[in-house]
Amino acid sequence: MSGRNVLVAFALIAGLLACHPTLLARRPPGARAGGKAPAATTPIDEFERMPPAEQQRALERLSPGQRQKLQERLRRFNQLPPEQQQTLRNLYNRLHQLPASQQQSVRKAINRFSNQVPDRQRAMRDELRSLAALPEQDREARMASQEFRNRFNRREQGIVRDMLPVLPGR
Amino acid sequence: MRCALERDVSEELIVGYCARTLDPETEAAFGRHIDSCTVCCQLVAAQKAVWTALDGVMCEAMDESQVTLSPDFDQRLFRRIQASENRHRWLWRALVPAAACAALAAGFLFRQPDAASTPAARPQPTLQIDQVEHALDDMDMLNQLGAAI
Repeated sequence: MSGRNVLVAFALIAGLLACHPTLLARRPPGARAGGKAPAATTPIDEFERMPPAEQQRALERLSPGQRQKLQERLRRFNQLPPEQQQTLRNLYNRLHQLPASQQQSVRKAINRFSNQVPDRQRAMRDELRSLAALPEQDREARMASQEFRNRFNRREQGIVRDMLPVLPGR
Repeated sequence: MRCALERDVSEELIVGYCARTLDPETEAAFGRHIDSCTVCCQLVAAQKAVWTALDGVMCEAMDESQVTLSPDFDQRLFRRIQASENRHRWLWRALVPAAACAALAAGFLFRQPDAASTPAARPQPTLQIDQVEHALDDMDMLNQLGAAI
């Protein structure tokens, strides 16, 4: 086949790919061509960027009670301070970049975290904040340290360790 | 009526007899046999008829006076080969762009129903509302970490 024919064949394949709707549709939320999601885009953001008619159509799938509850939750989220919203978006995206099994571990750890008494929760939050500021290799060293082991019991150490994957990389 | 000779033997003898390749004794013996065997006699006649016809054809084909080549035979042969190759090349040149156009048109047609969808067949939003609900669940869960991270 001549070079011209090869070019025509490539153009043909590219044209088909570009035109075929099923090849480009139904990406997971937040996913974009090129494989890298833009910073802090969640299904909530996508929903809020939808035209009102489309939002309405999506909400029609819910019962009136569910719709009202969802709208209330969205309103509460939007009332959070912008920095907190952004932090939650970042956490959400990091969580969803993890493999399913690891996501499950994080969810369980957060659940165990919420069952701790407030002052232990505070201690773990402080620890997580400190760990988030460290480079990744230093985090392991910190968690292996005597100070860390003295500060937290085994259950708490496990909670902190399981939450590590959602910490931002340094 | 059946021939007393084995079939393979009689076929071999018939062919040899017609080709005159049998030794004289066998030829004489087989000659006597066909005088009394109608089956072999008919087969010999048929074999001779075939060979006579073949001889005629071969003679015509091999007669050098009838197969003399013209001086420009090679040139004309190569021209015809070239012309045949060109015809195939033109066919490809026409077919590939035509196929490309047809495929693009098909792609466009596939896309059309999406653009011109009726309300009844309107596509569901790419984002499902349950994804929003799950995202809110995750946000509530992650919010328990407060400003830790």
